[in-house]
This record gives sequence, C-alpha cells and structure tokens, in this order.
Amino acid sequence: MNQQECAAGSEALSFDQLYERYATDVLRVAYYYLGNRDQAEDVTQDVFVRLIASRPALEPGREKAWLLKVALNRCRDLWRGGWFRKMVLGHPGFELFPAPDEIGSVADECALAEAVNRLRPEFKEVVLLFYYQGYSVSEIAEMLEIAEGTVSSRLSRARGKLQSELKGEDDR
Amino acid sequence: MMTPEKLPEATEKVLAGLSADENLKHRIVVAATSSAPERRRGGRLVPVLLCSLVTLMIIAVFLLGGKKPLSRPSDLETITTFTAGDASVTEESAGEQEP
Repeated sequence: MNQQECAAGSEALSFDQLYERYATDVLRVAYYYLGNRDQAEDVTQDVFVRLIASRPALEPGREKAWLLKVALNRCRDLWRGGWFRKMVLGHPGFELFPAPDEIGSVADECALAEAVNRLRPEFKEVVLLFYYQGYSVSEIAEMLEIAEGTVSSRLSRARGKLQSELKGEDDR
Repeated sequence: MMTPEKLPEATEKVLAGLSADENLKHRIVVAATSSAPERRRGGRLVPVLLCSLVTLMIIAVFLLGGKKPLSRPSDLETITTFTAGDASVTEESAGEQEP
C-alpha cells in the first residue's frame, strides 16, 4: 500500500509517511511492554499490516493514537498468551540498546528504563502513554477504554512504584 | 535521581539502537501482500469444507440406514452348533473324509 491513503481527506498520510513517523515509537512501546525485541518487531509488523489491510479512516493527527492502541492490544494478547511460559522459564532480561558512544554514561537512564519494564502491564501502559508519548489522561482513557479516574490512579501508583525502585537503586 | 518525566530522553539514549528500519518495513510490505490472497482463499475454503462435510454425513446416514439392524432376533441368521463328541457329526465328517 505504498501510495494507499490511510485516512480520508486531503491530509491523509501514506503508509510510508506513517511508518517513517511512528514505527519506531510503536516498536519501542512494544519493546518496553514485552521486553523482547523479536516480539516487539512482530507487534509492529502486525500493527502496520492491519493498517494496510483494514485501511481505517484515521482522523488527521490521531494516526499515532490508533497505531499505539492497536499495538498495546496486541502486546496484551501476547503477554497473556505467554503467561505460562514466563512463569516456568522466567522473564527474559530487558536488554538495552544505547548508542555506542553513550555506553557507560547512561546508568541512570538504564535504571529508569528497566524500572518501567518491570512495572505490571496495566501500569506500564499508562506510564508509557503519559510520560513517554505525552498523551493526556483523557486521551489515554479513550485509547485504553477505561475511566479517567482509573488512568489517574494507575499513574499515581506507577509513579510510587517507580520512585521506590529508583530510590532503591540510588541507595545501593 | 531519574524521574518518570525524563522517560523520553532516557529512552532516546538507552534504546537508540532500537528503531524501525527498512528491513522491518520490507517484512511488513511482504506480509501485507502475501496475507491478502490467503485470506480470500480461506474465505472460500470454509464453505467448501462445510458442504463436503454435510455431503459425507448424508452419505453415511444413507449407508447406515440401509442396513438392517442386527438386534432384531427374526433377522439374525441361525447358526447350527454341535456339541463336542456328537455322534452325528462324527459320522458325517468321517463320511466326508472318504473319497
């Protein structure tokens, strides 16, 4: 669907444009969620294949929200599906991919990323959408189809967990 | 101490090597183009399989329905049995053995 239009109207973006702008965000959100590069790439593939296949009428400016919503749904499915395997084999290590010239100088950033990865899925979702992707509470509520109060309370609890984890890292 | 507000900058640093590249894009395009015909084929396959199944069931019902049930005593073929050492059997079989 190279030149296929993914949205109605003159401002519709092509697949190439959408991929160029948002695929890395989708990939990284999926990676934070699953902690597995192959699975994160599979999720990104599924999301964009669905975009090509279903050609949703995306409102201009809301394409990324749609892509992230589909990605998070897919991540949730994979997470639930792999529950037994994870319980038996344990979680895979959360590998980080810093730029070569930054290795060794990103210890604090690594600690934060790892702490986010260790959050429970429902907390991870809101943290990633709020802090990483910059969505508001109401936008997140709409994307995840939950009440705004739920988003706020999850954010608050996630913040507490992150702070205590990071404080623990600092004390070590 | 790092705070969650610094997550975008932290991610840029620690996941700098994780980005959606041309290989992944190629994979997506290939998957999208190959999955479309499969879905159409699958769409036709389901009714065909269902029709075959129904046809097989109808044939099976006709075949089984045509057979007489063996549970009715009148339909059972009688089998003559002889007790061991029965003189009549011995005579018959002795007679058969002679050329």
